[in-house]
Amino acid sequence: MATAAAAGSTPGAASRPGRVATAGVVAAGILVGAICLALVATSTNSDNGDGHWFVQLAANLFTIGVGLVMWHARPGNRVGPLVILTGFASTVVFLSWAGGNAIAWTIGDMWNLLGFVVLANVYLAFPDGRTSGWSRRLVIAVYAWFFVLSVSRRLVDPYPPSWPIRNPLLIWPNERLADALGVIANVGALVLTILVVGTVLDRWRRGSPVARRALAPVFWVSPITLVVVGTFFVAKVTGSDTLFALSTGPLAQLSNFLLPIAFLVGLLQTRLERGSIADLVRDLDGVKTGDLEAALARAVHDPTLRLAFPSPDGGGYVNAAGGPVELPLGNDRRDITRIEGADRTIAILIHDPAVDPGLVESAAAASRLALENERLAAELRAQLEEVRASRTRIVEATDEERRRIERDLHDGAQQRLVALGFTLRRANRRADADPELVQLLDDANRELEDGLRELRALARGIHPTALTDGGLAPAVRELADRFPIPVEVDVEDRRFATPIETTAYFIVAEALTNVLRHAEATSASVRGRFVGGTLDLEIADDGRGGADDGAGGTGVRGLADRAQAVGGTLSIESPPGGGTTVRARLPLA
Amino acid sequence: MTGSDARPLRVVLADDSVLFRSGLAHLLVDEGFEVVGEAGDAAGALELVDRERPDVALLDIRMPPDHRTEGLEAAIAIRDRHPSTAVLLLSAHVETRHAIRLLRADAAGVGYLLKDRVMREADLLDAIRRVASGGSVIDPEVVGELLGRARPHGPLDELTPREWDVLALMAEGRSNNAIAERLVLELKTVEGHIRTIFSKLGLEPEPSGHRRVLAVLTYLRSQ
Repeated sequence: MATAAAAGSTPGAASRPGRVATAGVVAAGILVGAICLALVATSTNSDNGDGHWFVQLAANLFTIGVGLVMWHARPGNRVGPLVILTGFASTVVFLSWAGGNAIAWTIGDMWNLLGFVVLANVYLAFPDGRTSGWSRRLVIAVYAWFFVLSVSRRLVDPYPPSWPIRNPLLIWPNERLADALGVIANVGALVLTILVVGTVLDRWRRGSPVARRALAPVFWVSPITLVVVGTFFVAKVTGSDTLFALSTGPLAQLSNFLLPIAFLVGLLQTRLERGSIADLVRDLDGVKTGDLEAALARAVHDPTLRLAFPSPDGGGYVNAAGGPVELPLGNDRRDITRIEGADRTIAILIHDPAVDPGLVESAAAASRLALENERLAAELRAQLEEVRASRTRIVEATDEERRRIERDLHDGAQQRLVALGFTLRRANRRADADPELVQLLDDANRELEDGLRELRALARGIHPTALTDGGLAPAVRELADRFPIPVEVDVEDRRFATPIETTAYFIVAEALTNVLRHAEATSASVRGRFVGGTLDLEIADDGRGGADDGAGGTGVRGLADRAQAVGGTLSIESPPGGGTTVRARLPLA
Repeated sequence: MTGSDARPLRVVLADDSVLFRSGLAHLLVDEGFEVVGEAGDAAGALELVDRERPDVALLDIRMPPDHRTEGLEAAIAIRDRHPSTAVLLLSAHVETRHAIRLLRADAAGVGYLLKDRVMREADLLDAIRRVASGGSVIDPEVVGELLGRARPHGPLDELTPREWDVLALMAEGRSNNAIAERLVLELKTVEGHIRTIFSKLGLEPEPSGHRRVLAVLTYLRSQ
């Protein structure tokens, strides 16, 4: 069975949160809730009567719960834990209800925006839970801005003397510096908010459909949140109580509840697409590699999905076309999913991290067989190509060898035998006095002549000199001249590459030999035409036909092998009683 | 046996096989020829001919550097530059088209002989003398192959066996006298046969010996 495992920059994080972790979060939530209730109940603040704090606490706990669900739904995705953290961070403000305790109040007041800060992190990490490059720097900037400015301001901010508490962090009272830091903090908050919004918008603009699908619900809810946050800042800057009340009023509560839901729904969007796997399984029936990538991309709604295969030579990865593929590094906004076969990685999917790993796993499992088939087919193709190339090499080497043997016979044996003839002749002249010796030498001379004639025929059969000297047309004509039945030759007289000429010649020679052996023909013809980059050969006879290219014996098989060795084709047409026509088509390039 | 000529025929040999060359040279010297030079390739042969102006050049058709048709090209060049030098081309194989090409370039004073023929001393010497005196020589085996070709029914089938013999000898480059002598016929009878052959084949009668050879060979090849 296929094992498809998400592997990315967070290896091992794919396991679901354990019961202990879940219970811990739940317990912490209950504890924090209880503390907050206690803080409010024991508060000496006068404005605790309107109850909006209760709704806010409920929203925070709700957020923690939703975060927990997200964590379970997408283990390994940091968004879940971040949402949980958002819920907890938003409760820090409750410390400011401890009016009598200077430290608790100061922390609560100082970090009353901590929830927003973590929320910014959620935005920047959504939907895949990762931040890299610009967004990572922005996250760091937000945290740095928040902690540095909030704490540094407390170090110089003397609380008004009218307050019942003193600032426990104060080390150098300076009201003007404190005000200035306040302004810087507000301006910084504005700038950072704009940057976060811009970054998220940019992600939408450049995102894959699957990323947009995840972002969509968040985009619907976010304007409300933006209005709340904006109102809050304006209230802080202007000191308007009305606006402040508005920023913590029903609109804010609505945003507090809707936003976690939006993130949850967005995260689960891709999970609703399992139906596309069924389409994929159907599409994969007989799909080719190039189409497989497209089919997978459609199934997981990620057009940027790429399919990479381990390179056959063992190093690196290649795409279906054989081009090299770089695997993404951990901090790219790309994820990889390996599709494992029995003993090796069959393929690697490179995709948008926003794609639900479960969906990718399903798609990978569905496509594993097709991939395995495709891989085997590719291997087979490569081997076939190699076999074809080696056959061509063997045939060419054989032809070269025949040429060499013919030349050796001609330059070696034949010359020596002729020289022997001269010697015999001289011996004959000296043996004038001995008639018996003269007779013997005459016999020897005749034997030698016969031997030479046979040697000549043998050499010609091995490789005709006409082919080397004059090319295909003269060689075929000479062949036809010696043929026992009339052969009409019509071969275009031009030179081709040696392997083509040799192949064509031996096809003609073999086909004519077959005509003699089987066809009972009275005449034959050989036609050779150069047409559009190929040499078209046609060897026809008027014999009895009925030659079967399947069981036609080694002769016919050998003809086809010859043609295929140079990348050509060969066909035989042989209706009973209708003669036999052999057609070969040889590519010249 | 160089006949009654006061001056022996001067001969140049070109063949890349030293063994063959020296054997042939011995034979020719034994027979009263003067071998004025030997060459191992076509360029050397041309140089020799330019310098020595021999009566006959015997050239192997395949010679260095490429072992293709260097000898044939040299033969054509020699006939072009030195009409007084006859050329006898020696070939290890029967290659009719080479014979025809040589005849086409200049049918007078050229011959095409199969290499084995040199062992038939009489044939070789006869061929050398014939080309030296401006005749044409085609190896009987070339002619045999042309005549023996399988061909569809045509004018050649109309020839009588005797006319067939006459045709073969014409193709070898024999003169009318030689044909008469060979077939033991009257000259007049031979001339009659020749007229009949040309008319049966639909050819213009060719009076002159070497043009006749070319006409006959071309006809045989085209059939």
